[in-house]
Amino acid sequence: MTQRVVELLRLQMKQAGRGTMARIQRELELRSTFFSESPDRIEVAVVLQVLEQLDISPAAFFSALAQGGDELMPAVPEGCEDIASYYQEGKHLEEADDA
Amino acid sequence: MRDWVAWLRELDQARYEDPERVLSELEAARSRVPASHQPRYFGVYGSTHRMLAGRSQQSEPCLERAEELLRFGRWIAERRGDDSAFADLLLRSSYVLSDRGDYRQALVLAEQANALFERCQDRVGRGRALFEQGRFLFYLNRTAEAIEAYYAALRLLPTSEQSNLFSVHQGLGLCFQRQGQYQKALKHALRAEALVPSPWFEAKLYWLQAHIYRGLEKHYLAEQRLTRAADMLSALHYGEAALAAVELVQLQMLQGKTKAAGDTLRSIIGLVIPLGGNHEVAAAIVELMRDKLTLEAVETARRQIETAKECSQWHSLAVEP
Repeated sequence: MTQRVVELLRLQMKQAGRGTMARIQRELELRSTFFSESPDRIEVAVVLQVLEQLDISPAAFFSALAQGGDELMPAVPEGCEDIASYYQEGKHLEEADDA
Repeated sequence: MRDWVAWLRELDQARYEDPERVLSELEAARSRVPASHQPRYFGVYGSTHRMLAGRSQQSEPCLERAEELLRFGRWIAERRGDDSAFADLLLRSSYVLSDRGDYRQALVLAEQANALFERCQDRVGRGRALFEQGRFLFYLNRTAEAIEAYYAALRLLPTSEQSNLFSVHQGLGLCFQRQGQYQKALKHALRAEALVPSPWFEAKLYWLQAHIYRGLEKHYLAEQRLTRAADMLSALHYGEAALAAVELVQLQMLQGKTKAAGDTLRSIIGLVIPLGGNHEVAAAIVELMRDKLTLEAVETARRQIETAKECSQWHSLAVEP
């Protein structure tokens, strides 16, 4: 597997724990088409299928990837502290319950 | 009650013309934006800072701020499970990366955006993401793949997406020109003409057409298009105008039109003072005027200006409205 896949899996492991990581790794290894002929281009559609099967949010997966996996909570932009705490305190989940 | 979707859409358009006004409107509304609109709000907010980077002497702090806001928007979108907004934010983030010249990572984000748009069954979103993939692949010198991505975008974008369709045809023109397939390049460059979104893009399109006609050895048509491009650019960007004019001198000399070349060169004199902010470009022109006019000297000046174009101060040569 290329470095890119290893990186993806490492990031996912950070978020989801080793059990999930092992399941993703097994799924990906079963699919030889993970990368297209050009090594840089990720067959994201395949990744999406795998994530769907495992019931993992693609946004969460890509978010971890985009942030380099090192900061699950990004720097809060100046003046946006209220918004950040709204989500940190899980108020958005209450909002979904209300709906 | 405010229609937040319409408001954000309007500001997203207005940021091209007046990013300062858009920024103050966005900041004034920050505490009132409903939670469900926050991801897209941070998308427009970040992209507005990116726009300011293009107008500032110091672009990096603006790009950093743009990145910070877009990352925060993605974080919110993820928590809300809003895949569509997340895809939009990924695409916006890819533009910031491309502004920094990181086309490889920009491509990865555009691919991810495409996959998420597909999941949301958003054809226009996919068309936009594929168009951007084409653009990044072109910059990465992966021309055949860029053409593939552009054609895929063409199949998805509706006729209402005039500005994106223009860019796709222009992109295909550039790709085929690079491959030396000038007839195909011309076909797309002419199709783009009916879709031109602004004088800036119109000038750039004439410039591309000039290069294609030059490839087809139709020098008269190339000269005509380049003259139009240089004229239009003189009201838009001193640096680009100087580069187009120097290319015009070169083209006229190639046709043996020495007098016309001399006249064009003299017409560039007016650009030297406004170009003062960029010594390399001004010096290249002055040097060209001082020496005997030869093809070699013109090519040297052209290359010097091309090199200056890579520098971050290039955008400061835009003509003030």
